[in-house]
Parts: sequence; C-alpha cells; structure tokens
Amino acid sequence: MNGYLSHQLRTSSAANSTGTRTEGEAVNIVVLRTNDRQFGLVVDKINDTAEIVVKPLSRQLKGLSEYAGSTIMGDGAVALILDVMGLAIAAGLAAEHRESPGTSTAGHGTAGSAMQTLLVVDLGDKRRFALPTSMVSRLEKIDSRTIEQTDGREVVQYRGRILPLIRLSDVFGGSSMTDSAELSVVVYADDQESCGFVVGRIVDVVETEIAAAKELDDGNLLGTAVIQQRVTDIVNLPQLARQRCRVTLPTTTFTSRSGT
Amino acid sequence: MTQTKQYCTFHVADMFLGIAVEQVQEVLRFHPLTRVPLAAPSISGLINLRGQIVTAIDLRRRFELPPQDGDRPPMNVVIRADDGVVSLLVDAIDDVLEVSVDDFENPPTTLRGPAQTLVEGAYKLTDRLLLVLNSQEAVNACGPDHSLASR
Repeated sequence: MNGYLSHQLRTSSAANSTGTRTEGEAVNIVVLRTNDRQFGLVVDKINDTAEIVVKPLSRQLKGLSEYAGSTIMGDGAVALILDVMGLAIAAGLAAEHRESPGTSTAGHGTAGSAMQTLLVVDLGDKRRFALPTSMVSRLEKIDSRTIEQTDGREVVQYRGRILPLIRLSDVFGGSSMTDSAELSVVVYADDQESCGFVVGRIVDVVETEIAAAKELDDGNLLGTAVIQQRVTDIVNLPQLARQRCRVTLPTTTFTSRSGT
Repeated sequence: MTQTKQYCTFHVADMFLGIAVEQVQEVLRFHPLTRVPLAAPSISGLINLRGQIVTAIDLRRRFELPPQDGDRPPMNVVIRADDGVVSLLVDAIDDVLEVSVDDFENPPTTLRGPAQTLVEGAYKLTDRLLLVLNSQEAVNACGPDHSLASR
C-alpha cells in the first residue's frame, strides 16, 4: 500500500515527459488539470465514479497537501481523496503557490476558520437549505419502497443498522415528496446519533463564509445567509437529529464488530 | 477521605498504561483501516466509526517500539481529544481501575525516549506500576514534521 502513492507520484512526474513510458502493457491514466497545466496520473485500476462528501482530514494529517480529505464509500470503507494541486506540487509539476491549505491560519484547532463547506439542497420548492458538510457522512439515494415503520416513524436498514429518516419537508413544511420512487438522503452522524435527512434535491456543495448569517430564534435553523445569490436557511443538524431521532444506536461501551 | 480517580487501562508492549475514563469514548475490537501513505509513521490509518472518520494512532510506533509479535490485531481505545475523536491502537485492554489520587507520582526516571513525554505520571499499585498516558501528547506529535507545525 505504501508503494501505491509513491508509484503515483513517480509516474505522475514521469507523465510530464510526453507520452507513456511502458513496456507494451496498457496502463490507466487519469488526466488531471490544475490551474494552468494538465498532467496524467497513472493508476492501477479505475473502480467507478461516485458523488461523495469530502470530509476534512484530522489535524494529524493536515500537513499532507497531497490529500484533499477523506470520505466514506458505499461499502463503509474510508477512501482518501487526492488533491490535484497538492499532487502536482509534490511531483514538481507546479510551483508552490500556497502552503498546505488551511493549516497556515488554523494553527491549533479549527474553530477559528470562517470558511465552511455547506451542502445546498432544496425541498422541491423554491426554498434553499444548507447543511454543514462536517456532519454529513454520505449522500445516498434510497428506494422509497425500502422504507419501513417503527414506533410511528420512518426508518431504513442501512449498513446493518436502523437509520431513522427525517423528512426536512416535515420539519420546515412544503411539499412532502412522498410520491417519488427514489429519495435523496443526507446521512448524518455524530458521536451519539445517526439519521438520514430526506431532501428534495442536492443542488451543490459550496465553500463559503457565512458572515451574512442572520440569527433566527428557531432552534432548527442556525441562521440565514445568501449563498450563490440565493437566500438560504442553514439547518441546525445536531439539534434536529437529537430532537427527531429517538431510535438510538446501541450504546454499549464495548462494541465488537467483525473485521470484514 | 481520599479522592479516587478511574482509569481505563491497557497494555502496549510491557507497559501497563492508563487514561482517565472521562477521556475514553469507547473501546473497540480491530476495525478495518485505510492506510494513509506519506503520513507520519505512528498514524496507522483512518477508520469508519459509525459514519465518523477517525484517525488511528499506533501507540507502539508512537513509543518507537517494534510492532507486536504474531498476528493478534490491536484494539482501539477511542478517546476524545481537544480537537476531535482519535483512536489509539494498543495491544490489549485491561480493567477500569480506581486509584487514589494521593498515590500519584512523577513519571519514573528510568523512562527513555518518547516515553519521557508520553507518560505524565504513575500510580504504584500493589503488584505493578500504572503509567498514566498523556493523551494530548499521544495524539499531538505524530511525527517529527507535523508536531511542530501544529503548535
């Protein structure tokens, strides 16, 4: 596994000299583009393309500019997300315009950084809502026929667990989107709760400074901001999760899980 | 009336270590890890803890000790550090022990290398010595490069 990245770096620097330099064997090359330059990344195998939520790396790994973050794949495995610019710099293909992103200002802890990554969704009407991605573990599409009921609430079986569903339209009003066969679910997880927020449509992921946020009294919203020229309500996910999902995870301290 | 404190205890090589129970979120069997190439050697990788991505730190490597003999998988001691949840990989889990705070002593002077900063004190028990792990230090300096950058 260690050879994995060095291989990539070696070959990505090799890709600078035009053409492939292999001995007749076919290779997979992912062509990447940074600001001004294209380069190829030689990889062993292409699996698939997927829409993912990139989570920031922990402080211990922040110094590695080759990575943009990590994410959880559909099978539950953690995948590393490469940073194209960081790779190019590491391979000597691009000049270092920046120190490793985020670390220069962050120093200790992350509370100081004003930039926040938000997942912008709608509920099938004109309103826009934003969810802080730091708490989002995955985006899923689920078949509405897989929804089951327990204790008067909607749940789905999700990776061996029971995932309570919260329809944002039930919380904030609006069309209930019950008829669609496929539902977009934003999977939320924190230390204590995990649940799925059903939204109408995933619009975009934006990195923004929410300086223009207006404080609201309603505990379900953190505030309102203008994102991409649209008035957008920022949802207080932890609050909603605590309030609305009573189907809690087994809270035994000593949990055992089989390796694979 | 002596005050007592509870420690979650575990083993790393021949060391008997403890962390205050308040800092420990949970203890888990081995989880599949995603390795992080280029990371500091003490970082074993990333684990998926119920949807949360948690960095796992190998305490053996943190103490600059050789890897465990045999193929017994390490255990995860998941702790709440100042800036998030981190998992410490240890050889084996032991009991939760209640000790009297009066028995707390400075770290033994015989400690060498990284242990000098990683151990913040010790409790003399009847039959053995419980070393108190400085968890902040354990999750902090993960390698010569990154430890200073984050200070």
